[in-house]
Amino acid sequence: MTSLKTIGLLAATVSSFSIGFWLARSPASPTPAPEQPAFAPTAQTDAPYTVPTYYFQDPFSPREELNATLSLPNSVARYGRMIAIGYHAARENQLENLAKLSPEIWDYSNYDLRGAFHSEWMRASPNTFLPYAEAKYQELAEAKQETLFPSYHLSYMEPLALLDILPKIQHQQLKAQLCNNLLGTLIELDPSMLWEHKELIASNQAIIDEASSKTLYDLALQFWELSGWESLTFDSELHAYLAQNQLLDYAAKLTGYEKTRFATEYALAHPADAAQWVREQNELLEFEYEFQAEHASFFRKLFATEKFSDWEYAAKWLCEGISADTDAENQSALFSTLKDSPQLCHLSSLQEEFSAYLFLVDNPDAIKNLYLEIANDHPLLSLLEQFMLKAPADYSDAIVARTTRESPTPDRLMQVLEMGNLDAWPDAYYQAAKETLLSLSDEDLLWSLSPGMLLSAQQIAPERIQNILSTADPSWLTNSLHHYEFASNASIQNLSSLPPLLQDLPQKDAESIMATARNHALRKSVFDPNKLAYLQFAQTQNETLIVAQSIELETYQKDPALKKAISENPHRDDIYLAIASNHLVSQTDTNDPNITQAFQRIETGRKLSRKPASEIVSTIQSLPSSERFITAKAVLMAQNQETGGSRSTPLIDLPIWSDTEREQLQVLGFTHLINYSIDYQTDFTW
Amino acid sequence: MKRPYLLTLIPIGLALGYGVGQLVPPATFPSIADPAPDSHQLSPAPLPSDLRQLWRARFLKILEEPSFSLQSASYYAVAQDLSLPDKPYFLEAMYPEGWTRFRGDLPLALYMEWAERDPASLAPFTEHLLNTYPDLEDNLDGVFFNLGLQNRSSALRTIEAIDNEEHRRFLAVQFIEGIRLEHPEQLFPTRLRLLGPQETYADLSPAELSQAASEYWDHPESYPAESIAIDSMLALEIGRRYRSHGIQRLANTFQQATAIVGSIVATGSASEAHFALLLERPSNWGQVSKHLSQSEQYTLLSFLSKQEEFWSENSSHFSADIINNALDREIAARLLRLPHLAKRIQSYVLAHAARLYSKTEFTQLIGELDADAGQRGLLSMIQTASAAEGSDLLAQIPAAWRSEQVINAALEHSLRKGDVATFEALRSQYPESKHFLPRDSQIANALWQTNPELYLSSIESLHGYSKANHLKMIAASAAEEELSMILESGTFDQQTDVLISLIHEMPYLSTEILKHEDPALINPQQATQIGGTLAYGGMPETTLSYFGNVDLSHNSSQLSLLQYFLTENNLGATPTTSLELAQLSPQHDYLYRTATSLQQDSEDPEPLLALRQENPETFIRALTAVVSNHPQDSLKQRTKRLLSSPQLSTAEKLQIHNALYGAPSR
Repeated sequence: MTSLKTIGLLAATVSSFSIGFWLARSPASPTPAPEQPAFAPTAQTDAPYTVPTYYFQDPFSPREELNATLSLPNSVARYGRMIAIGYHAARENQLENLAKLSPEIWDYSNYDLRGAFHSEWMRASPNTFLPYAEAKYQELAEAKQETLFPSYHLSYMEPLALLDILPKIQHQQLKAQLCNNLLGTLIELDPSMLWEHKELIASNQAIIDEASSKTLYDLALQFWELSGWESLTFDSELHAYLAQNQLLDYAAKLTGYEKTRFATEYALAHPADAAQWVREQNELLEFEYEFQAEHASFFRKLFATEKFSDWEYAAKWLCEGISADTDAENQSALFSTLKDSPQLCHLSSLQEEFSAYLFLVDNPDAIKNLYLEIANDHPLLSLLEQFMLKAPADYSDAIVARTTRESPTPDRLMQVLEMGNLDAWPDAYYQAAKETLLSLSDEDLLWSLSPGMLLSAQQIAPERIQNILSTADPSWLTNSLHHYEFASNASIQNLSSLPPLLQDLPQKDAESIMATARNHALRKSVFDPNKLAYLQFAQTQNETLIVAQSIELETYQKDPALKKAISENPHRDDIYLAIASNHLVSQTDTNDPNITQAFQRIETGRKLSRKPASEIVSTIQSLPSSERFITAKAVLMAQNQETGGSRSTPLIDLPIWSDTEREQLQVLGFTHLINYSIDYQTDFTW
Repeated sequence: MKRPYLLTLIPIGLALGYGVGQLVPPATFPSIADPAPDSHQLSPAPLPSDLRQLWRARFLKILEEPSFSLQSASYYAVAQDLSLPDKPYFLEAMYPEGWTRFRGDLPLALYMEWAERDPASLAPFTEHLLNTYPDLEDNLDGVFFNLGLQNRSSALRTIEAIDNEEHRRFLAVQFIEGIRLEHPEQLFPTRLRLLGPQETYADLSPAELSQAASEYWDHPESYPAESIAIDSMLALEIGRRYRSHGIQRLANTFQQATAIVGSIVATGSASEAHFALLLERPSNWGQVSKHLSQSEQYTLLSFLSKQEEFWSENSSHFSADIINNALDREIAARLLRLPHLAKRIQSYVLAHAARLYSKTEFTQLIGELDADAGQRGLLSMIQTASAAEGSDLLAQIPAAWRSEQVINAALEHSLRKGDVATFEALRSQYPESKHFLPRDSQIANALWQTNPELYLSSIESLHGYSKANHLKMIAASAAEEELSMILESGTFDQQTDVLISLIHEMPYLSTEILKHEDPALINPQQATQIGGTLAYGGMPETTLSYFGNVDLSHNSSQLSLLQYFLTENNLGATPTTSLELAQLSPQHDYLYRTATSLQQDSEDPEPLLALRQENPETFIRALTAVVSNHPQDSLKQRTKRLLSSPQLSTAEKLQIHNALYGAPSR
C-alpha cells in the first residue's frame, strides 16, 4: 500500500514537473520557428526509454481528475487521460465510481472513458460486471441508445475477459453484438484463439467473410481448410485472390456455382492458365452469361486449347464466348473457330447468340469471308445469309459469288422466304432461289411452307403455289391463311397476288384477311421514302392515316409531288394534322398555310386534351361550326399521342356530329389509336 | 518513506519543471499558436535504419503493457511526448503492428497531435504512407473518419494540402462521414470546402438545407451559371426564404414552379404571375409533399383550394398525401363544390371528409354533388362507420341513392366487421341485396362462416368459371369435412378446378380424389395444371403417389405427367422427383425422355423422330400439346423441320401443322 502511494506521489511529482514545464513554455513565451528541418531526428539513441503515461493524485479521485481533464485544452491529453481515468476508476468500487463519472461518462463523445472503464471492470470483476451490463444494455436498448453501450471497446480492450463471460450472457441481442465485435477483434489479434472458441462466436461462413473483408485472405483460406473444406460462399475478392495467386489446390475444393465464380476470376487474372484449367474440369455449373467482354483474352486461349472442338462442353463454351464478346474484340478468333467446327453449331442458343453477334461486328469483309468460306451444310450458313439479305446493298457481291457456286438448299431458302422483301434480293440469288423452289416436289413444298413464306413463294412461282393451295387439306389452308405471319408479309407490291390465294375461303374471312394484309402493307411506309406510292394506294380514312403517320414534315416540304397529292386527297385535313402531330413541338416557321393551320389546331388539341372530358365537350360545342369538327379531330389525335385516348368517348358521342363525321371521329379515336399503338410497339423484321 | 517528506516533492517538481522549461531551448516544441513551419522541403527523406531500429524498439516496449486500456492511454501520452521531427520515424517504425485496427487509438493520437501542430507537413507524409504501404488505406480511412467525428479543423487543412486528387478525395469522404455522424451543422460547409459546389449540391441532406439555400443566395451569378443542381427540396427552401427574389434567381421554370410552392407555404399566397407559372409547369407533387411540414401542407392546400383554375388544370396529379394530412372541413367543402375536380382527387377528399363531418352533415354535403360523386361519398362514409351506423345511413338517404353498389358495400362492410345481425337485417330489408356475392377471399370466408347455405344458394345459378371461382374461395376457407358439400354443388368440371386449386393447401386429400376420377373427364388444360401445380409445389411424396397410381393410357394423365417433367426441369435444380418417376414404368420413362428431348437446346430434329418411332401416338400428342402451349422458338424451328420428314404420316403432319399455326383452342 505504502509503495503504491509512493509511486502515486512520485507520479504526482513528475506530473507537477510537467505542469511546471508547461507553465514555463506554452502560454507566455512566444516560440521562434524551428531552425532545423522538421524531419531531423531529436531522439537520443543511447538513453533508456520509459514509456510515457498519465499519472494521478493520490488518493485517486475520479471526479476531480475528470473535471481537471475535461478542462484541458489539448484534446490528445484529454483523450489519453480519459482512458487512464476510466481504467483506474474501474479497478474497485465500480458502481460508486460510475456514479462519480456520471453523467459525462454517458456523453457519446466520451467513448474512451466509457470504454476503458467498462472493459477494465469486466476484467477486474466479471461477477459484478455481468448483471450490471445486461441491465444497462436493456435500459439503453429501450431508450434506443444501444450505441452508448461500449461493446466495441469490450472486445478490443479485453477480448480474453469477454470470452470468459460470453457463455454466461443471457441477453441475446447483447450477446450477438458482442460476438460480432469479438469476431472483428480476434481475427486480427489472435486468430487461433478465435478458431478455438468459434462455436461461441461465429459460423465458419461469418469467420471467412470477416477475414476476407479485412483482406486477410491467407487467414480466410486457412480457416477454410480447418473447416474441412465446408461448402461456403466466398466474396469476389477472395475468389480474385485465389485466382491471382493461382491457388489451384484450394480451387479444387470449391463446389457447384462457387467453382464457376472462381473460373470467372481466374479467366481474368491468368487467361491462358485458366483456359487450361477450365478444360480440365468435368463440368462447371451455370456459367452461362457469367463471362463478359473483359474475358476476351481467356476465350481466345480457350478456343486455342488442344482439340477444343472435341471437348464435350465445347459448344456451350463457344456460345458463352459469343455472348460475352460484346465489344466484338474476339471476332476473328470466334469466326475461325465457328468455321472449323460446324459440329458445335447445332445449339439453338448458340445460333441465337450468333445472329445477335453479327449486328455487333462492324466488319462486313470478315462476315463476307466467313460466308464464302463455310461449307454448304454449315449450320450457320443460313443465319449469315439471312443477315446479309437484310442489307443486300452491302453484301450482294458475296451473295452472288456464293450463289453462282451453288444454289441455296431448300432449308436455307425457307428461312429467307419467311423474311420477305424479295425485291431487294440480288438478281442471281433470286434466280437460284427460284430454281431451288421449283426443284421441290409438291408434297415437300406443302409441308415446308410456313404461313410467313406463302406470299414470298407465290411471288417466285405463282402457279405452283396456287396449285398446291388448291389441293391442300382445308385445315392446312385455314390455319395458314389465318395466321398472322401470312398477312404480315404483305407489301403494296404483292397485295395483288393475294386474292387468288384467298379464293377458297368464305368471303367474309377473305375480306378480313385482305384488310389486315392491306394494313400491314401500308405500315411498311415507315421504312420507304416513297410516301406517294403508299398514299395513292390507301383508300379509306384509316388507311390514309396509317400512311400520314409516317410522313415527316421535312419529307413533305421537299416533295412537291407529294404535296400536290395530299392537297387533292379527300382526307387531306387528317393528313395535315398527322404531319403536324408528328412533331412534339409546334414549328411555326413554315410558309405552307395548311401546315401552319394544322400546327395551330394540333396545339389547341393538345391543350384541350389535358382537360376533363366535360370541359373538352363544352369547349368544342362553343366553337363556330366550321371549326368544331376539325378541332375535335385534333383533340383525338393529341389524345392518341399523349394519353392513349381513354377519354374520347363523350366527345365522339356528341349529338352535333353527322353520321359520317362521327364515323370519321371513331376511326381517329379507336381504329387509328390501335394502329398508332402498333406502330410504336411492333418490331418490324424484314 | 514518510508522506510529508514526499509531499514536498510536488512543489519542488513544479519549480524544477518551470526552471527547466525556461532553460531548455524551445526549438523542438513548436506550439499550436505558431505559424506552420515551412513545409516545402518536407519531401520524406530516406530514414536511417538505426533510427528506425531505435523507434521500433521503443514502440515494441509500449506493447509490453498488459492492459490494453493502459496501453491505449500511453498511445496518447507518446503522441504528446514525441517531437514533431520524430513523429514520421515513429509512424513508420510502428508498421505493421501499430496500425492494426485494435490499436486504432495510436495512429489517431499521433495524427491529432501532428495535425494540430503542422497540417502542412502531415499531408505529404500521409501521401508517402499511402504510396509506400497501400495496405494502410483501410486504417487511414478509420483515422480520418475519427478526425471527422472530432470535427478537427486541422485535419481538414491536412486533407486540403494533399496533392494527389484520388488520395485527397478518399480521405475527404471518410472525414465527411465522421462530420455527418456527429456534427451535422458542419456538414454543409465541410462538404463545400472539400468537394466543391457541384458535388455538394448534387446530394443534399435535409440537415444542410438552410446553409445550402443561403450559400446559393450568396452566389447569384456563379451558381446558376455553373448549373449547380437544385433538387425540389432546395427549390422549396429557396422559395420559403427568399420568396419572389429567390424564385427569380432559379435557372429553369421547373425549379421556379417548385420554389413558388415554397413561397406559398411561407406567405400563404402567390402573385398572379407566379400562380400562372405554377399552372404552366405542374410540380412533382409526390416529391414536393415529402419536404413540407404538416402545417405547410395545410397552408398550401388552403391557398390552392381557393384557386378554381388550379384544380381544372393540375388536379389529377396532386398529392394524395397532402389531402390526407391537410384536409379540414372548410377546405373539403370548398374542394367538393369545385365544378371540375378530378375524380381521383374527389375520391380522396370524399374519403377523408367522411371523418370530418357528422353523418347528417356529410349526407347534406354530398347531397349537393352529382349522383356519381354522391355514391362515392356514401361508400367512403359506410366504410368509416360501424356496420350498424352504415345500415342506419342507408335508411336515411333518398331511395334513388341506394344503388346496388352502395348496398353491396354496406353488406361487405358488415361482413368485414363480423356484424352478422346487421348483415341479415340489410339482406331482409333491401331486395336488391339478393344478388350480393363476395368479391374477395376475405369476404368469401366471412360469408361462408356466417351463412354457408346462403352462399351456396347464391352461386347456384352461376356458370362455369365464375362458379368454380367462388367454390375455390369457399374451399380455401372451409374445413376438410365441409369439402364434399362444397364439391357437390359444382359440376364435374368445376369440382376438378376446385380440387386443383386445393393441391397446395390439402395435397393429400385433393390428389386422392383427383387420382380416383375418370381421367377421360379431365380436360387438357386441367391436366396441364395438375402437373404444373405439383411441380411448383415441391411435394415429392404426393407427386410419386399421384403419378404412381394414375392410368397413363389416358391422354390427360400423359399430359399431366409431361407437364410435371417439363416444369420440374425448368425450375433449375436437379429434377430428382422426375428421375424417380421415370423409374416407375416404361410409359413413365418414355414421357420423361420425350419431355427432356423437347426441351433440348438443339436444332436437330433427329432425336424427336426417334422418339416418334417408338410410340407415335403418345409422341404426337405430347409434341402438339407443348408446341401449342409453350411456343419456344427453338422447339418451333425443330418442329417445322419435322414437318418435311417423310417418316410422318399426313395425318400426323396435319396435327403438327395445326399445333404450330392453328388458332389457339380453349
